[in-house]
Amino acid sequence: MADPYFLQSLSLSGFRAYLRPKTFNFRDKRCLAIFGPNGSGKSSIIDALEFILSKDGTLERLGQRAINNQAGPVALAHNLAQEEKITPHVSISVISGKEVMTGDRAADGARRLIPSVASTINTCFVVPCIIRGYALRNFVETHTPEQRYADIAGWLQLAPLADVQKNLRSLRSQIKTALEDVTALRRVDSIIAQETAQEVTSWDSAAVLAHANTHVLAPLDPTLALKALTVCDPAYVELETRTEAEESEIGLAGLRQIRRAAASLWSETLDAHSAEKVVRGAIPDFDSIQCAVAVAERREIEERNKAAGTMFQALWKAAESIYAEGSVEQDACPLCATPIADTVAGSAEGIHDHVTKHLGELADYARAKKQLDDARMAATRAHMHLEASLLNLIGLLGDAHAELKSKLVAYQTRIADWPNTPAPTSVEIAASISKVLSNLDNAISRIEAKQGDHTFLKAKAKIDRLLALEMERSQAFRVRGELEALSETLATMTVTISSKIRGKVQLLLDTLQIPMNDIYRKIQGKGAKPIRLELPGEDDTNQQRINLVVDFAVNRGGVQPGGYLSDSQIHSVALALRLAAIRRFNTRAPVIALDDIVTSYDADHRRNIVALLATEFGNYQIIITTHDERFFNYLKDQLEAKAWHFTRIVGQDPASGPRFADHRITDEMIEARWLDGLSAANEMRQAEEEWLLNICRDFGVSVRIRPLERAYSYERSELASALAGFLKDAKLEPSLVSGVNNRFLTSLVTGAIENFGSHFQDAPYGGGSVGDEKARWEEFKTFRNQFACKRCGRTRFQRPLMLKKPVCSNGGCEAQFQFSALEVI
Amino acid sequence: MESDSDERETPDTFLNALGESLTGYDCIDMDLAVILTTHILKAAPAANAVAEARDAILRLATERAELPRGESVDG
Repeated sequence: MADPYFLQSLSLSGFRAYLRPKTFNFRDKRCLAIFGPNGSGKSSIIDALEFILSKDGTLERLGQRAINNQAGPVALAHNLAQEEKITPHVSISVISGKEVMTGDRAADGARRLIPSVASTINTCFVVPCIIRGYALRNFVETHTPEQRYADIAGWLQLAPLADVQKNLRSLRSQIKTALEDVTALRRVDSIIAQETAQEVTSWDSAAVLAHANTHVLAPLDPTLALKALTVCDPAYVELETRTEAEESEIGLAGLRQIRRAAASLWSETLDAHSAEKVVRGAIPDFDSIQCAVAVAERREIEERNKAAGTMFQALWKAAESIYAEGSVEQDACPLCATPIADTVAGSAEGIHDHVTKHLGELADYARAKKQLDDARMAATRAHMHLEASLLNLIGLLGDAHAELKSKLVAYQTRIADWPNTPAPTSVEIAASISKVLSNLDNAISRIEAKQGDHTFLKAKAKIDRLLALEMERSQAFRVRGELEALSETLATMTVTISSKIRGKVQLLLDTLQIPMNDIYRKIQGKGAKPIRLELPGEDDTNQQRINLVVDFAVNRGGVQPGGYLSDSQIHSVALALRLAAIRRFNTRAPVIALDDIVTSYDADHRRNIVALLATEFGNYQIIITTHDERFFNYLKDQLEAKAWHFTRIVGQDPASGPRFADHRITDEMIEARWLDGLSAANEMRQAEEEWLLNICRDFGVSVRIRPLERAYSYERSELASALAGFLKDAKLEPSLVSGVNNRFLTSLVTGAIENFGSHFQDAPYGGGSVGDEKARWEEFKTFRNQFACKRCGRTRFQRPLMLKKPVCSNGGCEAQFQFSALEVI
Repeated sequence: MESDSDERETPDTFLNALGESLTGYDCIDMDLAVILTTHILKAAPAANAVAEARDAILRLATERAELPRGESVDG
């Protein structure tokens, strides 16, 4: 077995209440007990431990930071840390065997990475090692059984098992939801409504079958009817046969297509207004444009002849301006210098008229030429359109129209040669097309009269869609059926798995339940009713709960502790469970941090808890903080001094942090209180107790009058009584101190049992003035001084077993104890 | 301090053993057992483990629904 991990030191700087660096050293004494009033900073030590071990670098009680709430990690740093330029951080040193590991963690900023040493020791903490008093009651009273289960499952490393159960529940729920999902069936209903034109709005096999027979098959053949919507039905087989036959023929759609193609070449219709026959199509269009081209050619030739001198166009243009009306009159030709009078025109006006005439002829020619060009362009377009239309129709024609096809091919060949050869005449081909159109119209009319738009092909396609819908619906039902079966199997398997997990959890709970009750009885006494950790019944679907119950009475069995147990009992239950779990599972790091766990306990129970720590957790490293001074004193009295360091927070220094004092109350501390104008009643009582315990230890006083079950439990009155008895047996008689009635001193002398006050019950000192306290303190010091060595004046003694009286523990003295003379006060 | 002689079974070990024991049953639905073992019976399951298991079960139901009738299935 590997050496366990122990803390060696814990240092805080700028963290929580500690502004200046403070180191708690555990090298010499591994355990630490700190007393401090509320708000003095004692919990900051536990906070430091929680912080450095936390995964997220924060404290559970700080909550999550939100906008403007200053919660979360912000509260880790001392409020003056930034101002004092102190980097908030926590350091830790851990030892295992001889190996020492250290780590440091920043307590501000976003990167508060966990040091590796903390990660290492965290793996040893199966159960959280920190127990906070305020959280104990929550566990018993506030937590739901589900939260308690999650907590315990977490402590026992059963969180993955809890997750498995949670995931199984979630899975079952989701499968149930999937079973209730009707999306697939709704889709089928939606489509069937479309397919039947809303005649069938939700699937009804009989209605769908009736629709198919009535609206799909009957128009084609009233004798054709499906008995069932299946491909095996004889009517469906017949439908397939007829569809194949129909596909080998030209159907209505094919005929219509051929007709459209033929009509695009040539068709003759009656004009609705004039009742005259109108011929349309690519062929007449081409013929027509051919005529237009011929006309344009003839006209162009005519106009060209008229404008024979087109070559003189530039001359006419130039001459026009020279001989225009209003221009400077010319006597001779500007080119040949022939006198104007000698020209054929004979005058400038004559020349002007001649030029005007020729320019007009040129314009007429230009128009004729453009018309010819336009006609030829139109002819080219008409030719292209004709070729395309011919190609389309030829492609559609089958054997049934072989004659027309042959003619069209011949016509097409000749058309293709245009314009190199003259366009063929269209009379014959137009007649052939006309004849075919007539035949097609007859065939189409015949088919339309017989079955309308219905075809076997369409009918089969429709029936096939209905069949596909039926299959889709059947598939949805089959999937649902399979899912139902799987859901049932899943439920069975879930029960099996849950049962095994339940068994595992109960086994672990049992390992805790017995030690938990042992500890609980040690705190609350033998009469404490045992507490049971109970899982829900086997048949309960929610197994992720733990009930904490107590058999309070015969007629109050298995009741919730919150309603029957006292505050301290409830605390004890939770504390006992946590301690039992720590002892059971944290074997690799036996460290416990207890933060103010005795808020609601009476004196007996405080002593019991101390005794429990001493007897059951003697090998553990324990850090305790408490604001309960009596509890602190019990710790000092009963825990081993060699393992424990006791200290107290005596004040808060704003410039540094909590101010610590040694656990011994000194005379100076008491006088400092008076100087501050404060009562020192508690410090006096503490100092008296410390002296009493020390002198009892030094004198070897037997105090074994306490019950065995509270082996380390001391009452100071017991000590006083025992000391008085010892002194009487040893014939050592202290002198009484004159002055006010001093019950404490009297008890020492007489051995009377006295109950002293405490920090929360000030009597008998609390009611006095500072003056009374000073007088009281002087009486005590006078009495105490009697216990100084008469020879050397030292105050530490020892009593070997064979001696009846103690001797001075000073090695050079060893004088037998005798009371010194009482000083006069 | 108690001895650590009785080494505790880790959740991972326990869940692995649990998964194996499930597939060991004669009457168990093997396909479903595999789905649970793959997705759910894990000490550190995927974030969407439940959704993945659900989808796997739905796929299994669909596959089984598509099998020709009469063909046997596990379980």
